[in-house]
Amino acid sequence: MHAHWLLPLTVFLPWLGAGAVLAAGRARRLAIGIAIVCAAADAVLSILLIPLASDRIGFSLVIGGAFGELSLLPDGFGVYLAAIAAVIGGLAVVFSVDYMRGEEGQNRYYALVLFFIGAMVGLVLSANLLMVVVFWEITALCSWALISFHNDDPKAVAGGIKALIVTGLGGVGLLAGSLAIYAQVGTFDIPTFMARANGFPPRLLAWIGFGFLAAAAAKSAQFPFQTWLPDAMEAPTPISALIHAATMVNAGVYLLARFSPAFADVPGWSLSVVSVGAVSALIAGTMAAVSNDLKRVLAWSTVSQLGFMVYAIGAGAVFQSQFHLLSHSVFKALLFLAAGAVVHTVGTRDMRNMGGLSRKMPLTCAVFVIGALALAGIPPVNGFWSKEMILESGLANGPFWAYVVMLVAVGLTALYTLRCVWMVFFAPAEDRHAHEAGPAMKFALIPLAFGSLVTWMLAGPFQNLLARTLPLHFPGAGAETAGLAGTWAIAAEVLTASSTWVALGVVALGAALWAVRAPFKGISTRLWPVRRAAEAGYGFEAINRGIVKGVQGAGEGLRTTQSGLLNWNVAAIVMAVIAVLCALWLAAGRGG
Amino acid sequence: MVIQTLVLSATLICALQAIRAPRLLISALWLAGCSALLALAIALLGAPEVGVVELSVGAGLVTIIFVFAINVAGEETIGMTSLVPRPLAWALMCVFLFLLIWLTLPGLVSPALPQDTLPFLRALWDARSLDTVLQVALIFSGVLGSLGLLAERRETAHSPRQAGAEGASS
Amino acid sequence: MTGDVWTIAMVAVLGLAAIGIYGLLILRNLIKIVVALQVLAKGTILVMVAAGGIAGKPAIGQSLAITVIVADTVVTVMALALAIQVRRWCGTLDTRVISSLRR
Repeated sequence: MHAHWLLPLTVFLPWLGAGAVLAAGRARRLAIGIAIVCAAADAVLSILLIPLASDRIGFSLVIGGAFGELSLLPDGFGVYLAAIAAVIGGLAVVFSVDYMRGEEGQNRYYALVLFFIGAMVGLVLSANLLMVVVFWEITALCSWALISFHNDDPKAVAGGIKALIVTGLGGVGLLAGSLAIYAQVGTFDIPTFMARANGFPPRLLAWIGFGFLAAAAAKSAQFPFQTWLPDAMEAPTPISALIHAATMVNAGVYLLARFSPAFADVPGWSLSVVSVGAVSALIAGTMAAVSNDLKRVLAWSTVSQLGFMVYAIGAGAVFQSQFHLLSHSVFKALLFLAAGAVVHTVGTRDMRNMGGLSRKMPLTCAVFVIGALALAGIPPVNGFWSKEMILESGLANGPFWAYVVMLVAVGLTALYTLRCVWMVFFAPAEDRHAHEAGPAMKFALIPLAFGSLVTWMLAGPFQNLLARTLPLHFPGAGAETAGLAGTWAIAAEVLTASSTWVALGVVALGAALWAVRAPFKGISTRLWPVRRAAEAGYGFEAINRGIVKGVQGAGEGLRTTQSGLLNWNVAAIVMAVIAVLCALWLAAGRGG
Repeated sequence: MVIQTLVLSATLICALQAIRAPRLLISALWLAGCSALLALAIALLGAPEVGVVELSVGAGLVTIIFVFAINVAGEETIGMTSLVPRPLAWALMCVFLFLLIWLTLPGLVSPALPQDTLPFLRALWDARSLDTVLQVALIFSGVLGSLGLLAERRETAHSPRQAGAEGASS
Repeated sequence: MTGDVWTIAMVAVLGLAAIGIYGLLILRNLIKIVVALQVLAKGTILVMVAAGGIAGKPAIGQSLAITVIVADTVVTVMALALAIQVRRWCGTLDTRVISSLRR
């Protein structure tokens, strides 16, 4: 079985590339060449992994002791997320060649991107919970370093710190849950835990479940951790496309999807997941509708769509949520990269200063419109199919109030998407200088646009892949529908479901509300308190600022212990040794 | 056994005096005495080869290097007031010693284990041969490192302070 | 105390370790600190020999003691070279003065 060497190669090849890029030093073209070759090779490798997916561990390295073994398991969730990470990573690297031309510190940039791709692939392929935690934190580190890439810009630095602190606080939930699992089961192995989850004491399982939920919510910028993602838009746009739309924020959804069978029976867990998803989708939708910054609109829309996925997992529709994740990664990366092309030429992110770009940037406009159609959920683009599937299963399995909230969110999505497209490309504006995207940018945009149009056809094979390799998540689903026939069956089901037509109606309503907004201006002005609250982030910004200030203040306060005086350092060492000896003494006493 | 007790006690006394001596050269000489007595104690404990090495390296080589360093760096009168208050240091050491004694000494009375009769030279060159090779490499790297550290000449020693003064005034 | 010679050796080890660490806590002159490190190293050498004797593998213990002697000598040489550099660059060997982390 060739997965034995293919798996660690897919994970660690980008890391080798990162090292090579850093070592290339001044040879700028060599560094960029290495980065492109590595990212492309990794994309190919990850696609080669897909046919090799199985439910048995493909590679393991025995470390011994508490760490167990570092194992990589190529099951359905893992291989397709790895393929998304590697392929979109490769496209982002190619896009960056044009976008970052002439910038300082490109070695650092490409090395960090490659380091991130490797860590993300490792995260989704790991079957050892400790490895998941380590890769989780590595992606957080790369995200911080890349958000603050322009480290002479105070907004970028602040955005990076905020992202790090908020996702780090959530990561504590993941670490605590992992340690609790180890204490109970004696190993970090994920399949072992999943098999034995029913035997856990209920209160412990609840703590672990909610800890994981907090970690996932923080990583995927869900309520109440949603404020870091819009501020992370200070990162260069290819980074926003890769990390904050297509890969890293998916890690939270991945976590929930993988562990959902274990926690589905915990009282209140599924309801919490549904609530978190629905509230995030709604809040983010309103924030996107009032924002004037192009990337912020896209950031809030990411939060909103992730809310859809989280809602689906809470309603038990794991396949539908993963399918929407696939569609979303493709079309959101497309939207971000196209937005990057726009921002790169116009020089500003404020949509009020854009307009009329459809004539000057026809290709960018066309791909952006395709992505917008997918985002709004208009057939036949891939976003339509996956979103409808989520709504359908949510209506069937989830609480009804959540379904109504999601419908409102769908309408809001259509509204802000149309608003965005209008303000950027079609609004009448004075003639300003804008040129079409460069060749490398086009090279990245076109496959993504093509993907948006066709990935929905993968529904059938994808469902087979998941059913075949994840018996715990999809019990009793044998190899029924084969390949594309399965897709037609799913498509037919979607088209004939009543919820689909309801949702399409809401989409049309949302679009119409924007198109004929003039008569509604009166309502809009009378709703200004709501608008003000939305612009201020409903008070969450203030809470976040407080948390960041608190953490940094504590750090400054503890600085006095680092005096640099040798004798006090030795005293600290001696005190630590005494503490360890006391712990040994107590343990020995208890052990008898 | 009495002899070993006496020799080891003398070693401890020399070590204590090395710490307490006011001048650096005296301190280095007390350290040499401590090394010599320790070499004797180790030889009496049944490891004559180790004792010989310790005598020549610890009492000889290290003392010479200390004297050289003290000559180069110069004597400097630094007061005996310590940064960590002495009562705290005493307390930490008492707790530390108490814990170590409590944890290690009772377990030392072990039934006679079967004696492994490997001769010392065989152990050094066969069983622990990698150790020995690495020690050679370590000595080389230590020598080269020290040469590199000390290679800076006296004139450049002034330049950082000059540059600092210029930087402060500009 | 059973009067075993190895027990006396272990007591001496603990004593040397305690004296060495006490010196590290108290002393301010960098070269005296290196002397204290050497005292601690002597304790380590003795414990290797003693451990070999107690565990019934004297030869292994002794070769490890040789290793410790070599390694600690190299460390002492490097530490003294660093102390000489500190004297050249900072003008003093006092630990209170050479700390640059303080504000």
